Amino acid sequence: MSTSPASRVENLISRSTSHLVGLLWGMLLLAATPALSADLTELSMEELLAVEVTSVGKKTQSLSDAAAAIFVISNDDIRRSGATSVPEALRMAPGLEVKRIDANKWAISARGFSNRFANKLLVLIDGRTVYTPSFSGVYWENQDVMLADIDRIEVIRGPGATLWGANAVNGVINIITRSAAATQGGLLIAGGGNEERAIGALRYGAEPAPGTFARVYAKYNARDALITSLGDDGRDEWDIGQGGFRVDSTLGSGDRVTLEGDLYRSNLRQQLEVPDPLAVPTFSDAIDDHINAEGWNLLGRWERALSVSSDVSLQLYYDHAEREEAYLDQRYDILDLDFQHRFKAAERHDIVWGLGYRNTDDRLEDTEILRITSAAENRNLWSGFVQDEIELLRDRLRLTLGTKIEHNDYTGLEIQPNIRLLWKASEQSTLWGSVSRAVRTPSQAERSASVSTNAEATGLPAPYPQVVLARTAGNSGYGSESLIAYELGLRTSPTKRLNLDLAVFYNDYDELWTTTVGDTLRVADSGRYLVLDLPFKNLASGHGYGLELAADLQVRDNWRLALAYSYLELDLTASSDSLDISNETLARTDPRQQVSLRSLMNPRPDIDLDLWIRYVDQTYPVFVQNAQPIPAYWTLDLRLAWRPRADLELALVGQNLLSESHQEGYQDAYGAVPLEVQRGLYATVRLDF
Amino acid sequence: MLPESFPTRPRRPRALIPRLLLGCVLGVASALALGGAEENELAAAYLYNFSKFVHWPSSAMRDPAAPLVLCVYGRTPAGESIGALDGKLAQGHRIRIDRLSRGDALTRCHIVYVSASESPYLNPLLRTLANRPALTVSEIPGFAAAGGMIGFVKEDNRLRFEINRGSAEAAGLSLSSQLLKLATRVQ
Repeated sequence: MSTSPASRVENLISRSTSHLVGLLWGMLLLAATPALSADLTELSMEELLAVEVTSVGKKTQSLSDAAAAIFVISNDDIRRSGATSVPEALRMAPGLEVKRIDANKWAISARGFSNRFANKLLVLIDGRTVYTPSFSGVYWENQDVMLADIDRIEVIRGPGATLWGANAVNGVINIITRSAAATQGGLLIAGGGNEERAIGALRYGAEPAPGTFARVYAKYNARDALITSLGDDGRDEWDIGQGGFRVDSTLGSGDRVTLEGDLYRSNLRQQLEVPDPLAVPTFSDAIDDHINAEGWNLLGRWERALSVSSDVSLQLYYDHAEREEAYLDQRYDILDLDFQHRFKAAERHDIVWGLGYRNTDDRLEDTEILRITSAAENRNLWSGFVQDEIELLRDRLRLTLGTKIEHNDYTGLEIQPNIRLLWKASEQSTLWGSVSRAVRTPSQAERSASVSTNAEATGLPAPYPQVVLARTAGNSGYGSESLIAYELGLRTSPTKRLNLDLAVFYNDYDELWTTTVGDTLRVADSGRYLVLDLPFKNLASGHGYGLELAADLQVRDNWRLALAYSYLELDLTASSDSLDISNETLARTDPRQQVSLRSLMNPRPDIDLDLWIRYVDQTYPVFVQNAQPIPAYWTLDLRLAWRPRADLELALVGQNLLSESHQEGYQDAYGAVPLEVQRGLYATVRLDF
Repeated sequence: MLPESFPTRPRRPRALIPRLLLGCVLGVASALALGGAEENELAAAYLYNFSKFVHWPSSAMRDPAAPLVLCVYGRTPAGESIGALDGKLAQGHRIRIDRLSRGDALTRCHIVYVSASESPYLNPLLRTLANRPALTVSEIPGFAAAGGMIGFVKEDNRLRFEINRGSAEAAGLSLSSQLLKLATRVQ
């Protein structure tokens, strides 16, 4: 070929009618041109001072030591994704399923089981668990961290129970905010659009005393409703306001102290279709529900270095949350105390051990739909862990052995060990493997709540009752779900500009959740309807396997491509006497294949041009019987940002651009009609002062 | 108003082909102007420069044939870039890179690069190194203020450094005036 790649690019761009196609081709061909490189050590100090810093590959290099499937979302990744919430930012991680099921609810899980009450994923914000103890799961809509002050989000797929404890079954998400020292000065973000109705965030950081840094922040987001599959307004708009602070101080002794807290209040709307055996002929009521949710938390951490190779830390937090909706009123208070000690022993051993105590005070209030026999509970969780990293061959081969032992009031003692081996085959390549066990402990709801799931006509002749109401029944014998996971991973950077991270896993589940059919039918409400109890039992088992690939290519100094691919197979079976169909559907509720491709480009240093393409395979609803599968979808986000001055950024973001709207999931609890995420456009101004 | 952080850069790139050609011709300078350099590589390049502008007491550099030992203490993303300095010449000595883990002895080091991973142990570490003729350099924020000698700081998206002259002098090291001049802060 006589033409150069560059001129082919130009021809292609000028010829193509579609800007998008041109852009994509341009990127692919540019990728073929060799990147420029320089030996910085030949520069003088004066010259070095003038060189601007980029963050090529920094992320994966610092990860090459972890013997786990870990993916890090950086502050920059979040900003350039255009995401306005943590759940949306998580879509870039491999191995995670993220579905927006209504405007204010997300179903998020790792390696399967993604539904509204996905309970096998542990989520922490600065060391504070946000996993709701009363029903197992995370209220994502209320974990509204100030995105601009997040340092990173660590997404760990696979069990993390040895370090983080129960419920870290399929993964752990660690949201880590920047220290107050790193967020000095003022920051104002304001904007809005057709779906993101209002975006506002304000932060100010200062150094009130030498060595002590502090910041305060406040933020507000209002979001538009989704659209129903029939094209009507989803009536699920919502807003959330949150404020907080963080203080980081280094004391004269070298001890480090952190104190932080947040306070939020949220108003959410949802449309429910709840079973009502007396409402002829549909046996259900439509409810236009307004949810109030609020909470606050306070966390203190103290760290001290005892010697050059040992340190201790002590952390205490208090977390309060309450939420009122049509089918459930709940409130919880958590007090958590954690102690950790790390030290080096006999040269080759890096040992960390710790003790923890958590007190949970749960209050659930009865509603028509949810009855609870043990409405107020106060539970204790005691835990201890020890982990030893053994350097078998210095800087080459490392063995990690550890276990968590914890005691909870429901299932007693739980032991969650792991063994990991990491082999640094070369400077560029690391191989790792692990076997680990984790459990998902029961929630208060599973132990003692009775929840109406559906009402149907019996078809019996009068005078027999015409309706049967099915209610799940909390079961005090319900135990933990368990997993043994086998994982293998490879991280390699064949060139300085390309980082590859591959993980494969086989998950062996046992004692999984099932609803079974009770022995007797009860007559209720003076014979007007029958009640069928569906007690929870641990009668299902199964396995999952899959593959996750993350590739990061710094094509040129001003252009980076990031690819994530996930493949998942889940096969679950309930024992025959459970008559439970939900496990079959549960296994199909996650997309088999997912792709995320991000392109982060700086055509000029003051301009960001970012593109994000996602593909999600077909999925099925969990609890909705005979529902149509949700078709596979492609979607595209674009972001254009311009910094006219170093302290000012103007950004324009288009989200879900490829279609008017698309459905991502079903609202599992009493969803009235399927909802679809719409195309959105918003603009923001970001000012540092 | 001109953008403050990149005053020397062309404000608007020309057509693609001239830029690519220019890139090939101008090599290094153009590569840097296009988008800068990786922080890790910059840190390594600075370290190499520091090794040329520090004078060690003769007790620490007795044998002219002995290597200048640069110890990388702890796990750092800059480890690989620093490793590339191995064998380079500084003040007539070959640089040797030693990778040390937490708790290893630091007695043979001329330069100790303290990784961010060691920030919880900074005080005990600096106590161990105090008055020893080893130049301490780190990416840990506040390193110079805490008693380290040279601490990297990031300002305006550029990597700069602060110097704690007192610590260096107490250890018997003398830093060249050029080094002191270029530091963002000397204390």
